[in-house]
Amino acid sequence: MDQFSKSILLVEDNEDDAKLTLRAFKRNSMLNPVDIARDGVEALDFLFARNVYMERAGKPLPTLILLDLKLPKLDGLGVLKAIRGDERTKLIPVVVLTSSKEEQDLIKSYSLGANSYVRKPVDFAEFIEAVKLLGIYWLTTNQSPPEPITS
Amino acid sequence: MIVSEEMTLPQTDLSHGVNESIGQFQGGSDGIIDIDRQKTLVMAEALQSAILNSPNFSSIATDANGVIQIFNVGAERLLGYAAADVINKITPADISDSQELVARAAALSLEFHTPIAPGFEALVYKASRGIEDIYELTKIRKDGSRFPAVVSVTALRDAQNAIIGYLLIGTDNTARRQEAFARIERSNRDLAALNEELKAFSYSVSHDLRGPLRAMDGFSLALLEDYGDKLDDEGKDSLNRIRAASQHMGNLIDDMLRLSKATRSELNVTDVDLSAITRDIADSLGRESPGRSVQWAIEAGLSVRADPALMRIVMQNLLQNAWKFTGTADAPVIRVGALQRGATQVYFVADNGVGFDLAHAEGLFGAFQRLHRADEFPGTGIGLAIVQRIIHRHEGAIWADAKQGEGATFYFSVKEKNNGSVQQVNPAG
Repeated sequence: MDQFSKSILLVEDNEDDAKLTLRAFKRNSMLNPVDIARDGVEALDFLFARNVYMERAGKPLPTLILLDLKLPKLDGLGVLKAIRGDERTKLIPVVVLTSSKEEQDLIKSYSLGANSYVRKPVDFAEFIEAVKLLGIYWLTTNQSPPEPITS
Repeated sequence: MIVSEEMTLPQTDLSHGVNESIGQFQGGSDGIIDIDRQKTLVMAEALQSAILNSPNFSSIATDANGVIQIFNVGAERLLGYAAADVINKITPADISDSQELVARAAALSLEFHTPIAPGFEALVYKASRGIEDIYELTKIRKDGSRFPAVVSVTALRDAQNAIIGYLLIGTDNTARRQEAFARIERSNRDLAALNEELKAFSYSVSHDLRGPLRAMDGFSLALLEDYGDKLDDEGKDSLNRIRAASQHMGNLIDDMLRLSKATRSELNVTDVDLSAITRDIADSLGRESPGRSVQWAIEAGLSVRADPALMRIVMQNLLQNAWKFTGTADAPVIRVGALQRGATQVYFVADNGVGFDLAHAEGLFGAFQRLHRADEFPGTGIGLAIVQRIIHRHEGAIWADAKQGEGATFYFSVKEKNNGSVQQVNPAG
């Protein structure tokens, strides 16, 4: 699989943040396909090919999930728990990408099996740098887990 | 000590009710009656009777040995014994919690440097020395139930000032205690609710307030990058100002969160090597600005009883300030040490930097208060607010001494019993 066929699922409800994250991908020449889920339930529907995402059944799962914590309907920790609780998704690297650096968020995220925790800085130049490192590591350096059996 | 077997106090038989004695008092016999004296005696008698008949206060008088001689109505009601059950039979220690007696005896032995037995002696020792003594003690009723009593003890003395017995006046403290507990519980609950609210507030500040700032900064940068060639210098300057302001507000939010964290985090008090922490921070400040040459004078062996993580934050802020404000000094020196003020160990961080005018230092420890212009010395003005909050959490004090152009010294102390350098004195020796 070549690097740019590796897809990213961005779970982000804030349109500004989503747009800025996409911009950061572009600025770092990360041309991977990106899907965006706007709330926690949509993220799980996408991953498990449910409801509006029924047609996704059998399609490859994302290589990397970027997960915000504060989300409508089901929050990021709930999403993470569901991802880790399902055979199909439990090995997908999840990077928590969020505003908070509250200790409780860090502890809960790692306890639930987050692979990494990145705080979005206010300074966009720093954010671009963070996304760059994150992309290099998770999409290039890191060996992805073997393809899971899709439903 | 020789103990008088007989209580010489009352002429009337007080051991079984007191009412009959009222009105029986005859005063002087034949001859001229001293009316004033009689009046006084009637008064005293009435007072005595009122005290002894009070149903809410137990009055117990003992001989010098502690054996109960008088057991009033209140005592009967509170303790469930009839006067006849106890008079000439037991001491008040027999109806007190024995473990509390042991503890009280031990405490008194320490205080007075003399062995005191965990019996009646422990109840009256202070009174026997003429010291006013009111204490709380668990009393045991005839049926075995217990209640907290507040007891006041007075020694009874004869005309030669020799102790002939003791008067123990007590009352049931249950209701007052429950009230106090309820009050404490209420304020604890309020406090917990407030704390939760504060937590929720900082959580939401942490999450929600930064988002819009990211957008302002991010899209300003996007404009600069994508349309920079279409903007003149003033246009670019405006965008850069938007970015700088967003980033500044991001820093302010982070500072606010740090301040609230200094208030909320748990205190784990232990021995902290202040000299080591200081050297550590001094090293990293030196690494961050290799161009600067600052002379450090750090007293060795500084130790403080405090929370190590919070104490590091205190030193980090004080030293960073000293470092910053000596930036323009010719031969910058930063001194860290301790001095003794009475029984208190006072630590200090002193620099020979720009200092400040104490007259303008009213808000020195206030959040976001600054004594210098941002273009001279950058900062948000949160450091000293955090330092003060941490010191206050250690029940200590912090203050400053400074002179414009001649440097500043910050002094702080922590609660005495926290302090490791205070010698433990062996009370027995």
